[in-house]
Amino acid sequence: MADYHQMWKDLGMDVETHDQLCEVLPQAFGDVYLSQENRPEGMDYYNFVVAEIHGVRPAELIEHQKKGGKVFGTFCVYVPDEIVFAADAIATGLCGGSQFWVPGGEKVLPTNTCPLIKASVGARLDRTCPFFRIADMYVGETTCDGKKKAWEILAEDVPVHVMDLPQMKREKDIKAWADEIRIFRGVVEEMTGNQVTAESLHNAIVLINNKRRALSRLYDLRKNEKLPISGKDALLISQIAFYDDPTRFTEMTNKLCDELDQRVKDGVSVFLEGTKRIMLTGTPLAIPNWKLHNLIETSGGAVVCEEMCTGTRYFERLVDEAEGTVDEQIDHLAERYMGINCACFTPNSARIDDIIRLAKEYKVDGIIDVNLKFCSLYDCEGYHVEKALKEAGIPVLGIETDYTDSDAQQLRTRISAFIEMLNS
Amino acid sequence: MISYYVLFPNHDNGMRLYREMKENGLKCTIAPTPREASKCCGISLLVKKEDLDQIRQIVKEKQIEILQIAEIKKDIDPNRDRYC
Repeated sequence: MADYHQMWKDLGMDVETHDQLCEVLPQAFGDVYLSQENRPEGMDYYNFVVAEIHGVRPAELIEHQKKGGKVFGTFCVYVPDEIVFAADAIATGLCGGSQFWVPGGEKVLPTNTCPLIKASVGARLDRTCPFFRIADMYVGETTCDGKKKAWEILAEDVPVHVMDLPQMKREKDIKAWADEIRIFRGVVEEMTGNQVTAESLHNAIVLINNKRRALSRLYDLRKNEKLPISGKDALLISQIAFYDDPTRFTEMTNKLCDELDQRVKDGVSVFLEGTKRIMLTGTPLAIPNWKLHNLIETSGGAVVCEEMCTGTRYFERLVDEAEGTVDEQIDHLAERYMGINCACFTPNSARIDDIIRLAKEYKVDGIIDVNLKFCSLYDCEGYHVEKALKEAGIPVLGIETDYTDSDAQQLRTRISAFIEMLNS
Repeated sequence: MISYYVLFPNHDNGMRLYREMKENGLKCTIAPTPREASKCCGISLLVKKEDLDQIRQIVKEKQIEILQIAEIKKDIDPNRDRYC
């Protein structure tokens, strides 16, 4: 119950307004997470991280800065953290997942912008999130039109570097992304005063791959018929992965997985037998967006997989760990990152293949295709996703939502009806 | 329903008690400090009423700093649909 007010004041935060977020978090977290029966003991670590969300990790980042280190804030799974860590800097996710920050974004962005962008801009401009205050530089990318314009607005207030992500996946596009990573390397080196060497980049690739391995291990455990962990707990872990210390996160997630392995051996499940297995596809669920998982898991379903940026897109496939020159390793980074399938690419049929594959691997009974309001990319791609799923005989429900609570009851009704249909 | 939360001046003391309780086979859950208990944020430990005497003893023996053990009338409701 530490008092972080002085730290927040020193960061130039609007402490009074920020207090409104602190006020609602404990109850929301209690309702969604502490209401669960038979949670794995290892979840206590993630409870700790949330309870200290604007305290412990920000203090660590500030400590790093006091020693001359730099912090880079990122918003997308295409931005290679490896480059940042290879220069002895720290990368931290900055995506906003709370309605609390949305009005701040709406002061400068059109209302019909997706809530993730509005919340991210609002968190910075309203000075109500320590992570947004601490980051020395934001790293944007060109994954959608709303973000591109948001970077221009944010750049009035904080240094922003934008990476130009190609929108097709031809050989020349992969090379173009490798070139963008090389430019990013130069920016990071200049900002930090540290060189990215072949050795430091190799170490950073192993560091981030180990995080991917831990998440992959966690997700593999969700393939079991008897689920040792709930979907909302897995979501929380995915969300925390974006900003926690990678070494500690990997260690704690592997420790949790040891416990889950034992649960699988003992036949322990956190759901009743016959609970319908739901996979989510679509737009990301940034922390503390827990609405859909909670609605599904209190309506007779279990979320077993997320084909999302806060899910499989974040950890599937490793970067080649072969040692080599910095240039060779950057090519490996480009190959891995360009293998992520986001709706900003055309064509994007590999994402459909991913969804069908994951549906089989996780033995799903039904899929909910989620779209954050005003995300036209994922909304448009929903046509192909839902068509392919119908052809594959996998029931699908399309949902559009935002960060507000106002549609929760309506969504609960629709989700309950969908699960009831799966049961019949 | 009354819930019992141990509050701390900082997370180091919270984690010390957490580890001691686990070593003594006592169940507890790390939780955000409820607003009803304090306006400061950070961790608290959600503990069982029947363990309170033993917890007080551990706190004394191990010289763990706590602020208080708060009794809170808590209604955890997963269907409340109030997110943040």
